[in-house]
Amino acid sequence: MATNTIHGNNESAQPNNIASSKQPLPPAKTVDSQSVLRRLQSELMALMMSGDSGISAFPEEDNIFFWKGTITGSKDTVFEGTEYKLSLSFPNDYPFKPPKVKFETTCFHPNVDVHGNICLDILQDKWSSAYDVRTILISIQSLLGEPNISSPLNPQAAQLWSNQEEYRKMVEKLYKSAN
Amino acid sequence: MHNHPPRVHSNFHARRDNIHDLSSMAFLPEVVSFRYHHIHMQLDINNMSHEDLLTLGQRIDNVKRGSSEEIIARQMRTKTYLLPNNLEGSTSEEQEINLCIICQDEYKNKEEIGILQCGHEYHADCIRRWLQEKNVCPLCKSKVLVIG
Repeated sequence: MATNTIHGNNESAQPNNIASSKQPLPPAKTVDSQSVLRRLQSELMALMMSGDSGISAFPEEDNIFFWKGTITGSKDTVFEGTEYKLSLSFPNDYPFKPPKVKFETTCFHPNVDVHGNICLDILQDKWSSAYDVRTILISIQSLLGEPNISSPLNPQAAQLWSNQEEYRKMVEKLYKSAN
Repeated sequence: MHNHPPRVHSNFHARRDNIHDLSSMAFLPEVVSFRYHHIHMQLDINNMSHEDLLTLGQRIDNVKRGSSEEIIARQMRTKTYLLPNNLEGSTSEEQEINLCIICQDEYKNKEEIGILQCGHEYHADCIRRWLQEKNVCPLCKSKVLVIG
């Protein structure tokens, strides 16, 4: 049985200029900004305590909605020894919507385009509010070594993937020129 | 279709040359603007950028998967969280910490808890808000509410 107090259901109070609004969706149910802040703070604490190897993230100065992260390529992959910077931008209705995550360092990978956009299902249609920065970074780290070749954003990288020796050379070359 | 993302405009500009070809026979500005408008309404997915497609995909997704508030209210069980009474004498280590995975906050005394059919529990407000996005349990991804 259900109780009947449902919050945030005052859509009529929203301006009705949806068509011209920057937001393509109907106005989202409001999320208490304090609770977003609290969640991001507790994520930061958990991330700092976790001691995961090869991933880290920290908010930018003055803006907890914008984080910079780093991922190190895992051992025994072509990305071993390389480090990648990422940006994470959290929406006001996080965690109901996923953060926007991009590579800031050039990353030659079948599922990363030249702008650093990442094609990863959990950042799009498979997003769950139970995911957090830590699970996102771990997922991207494992995506590095296990790309999805069938739907590449970078066809050249997808094609080269079968030749791991050449791929490694390409990663090193691009990494050096980017750093 | 009238409220798609403004970003689509960039594709529309990119295709201008083609449109000029199409409309070169018609010198009436009304016709030209009609054609522009028409192309604009069509959402030219072949020329959309990755981000445009993602935005579009998420919009379609949201329309498709969320649950209405009435269905949520009818089908979700709720309970009131009660802190154990024997707090005195027990150390903090002995107390089980119960977190809502959505807001990552501890349950406080007398807060309303929502229980899905798979058995997973969250703050009732947190899970209601999530189910409006997607009709799946955040933890096990099972479809939790039967529509209808």
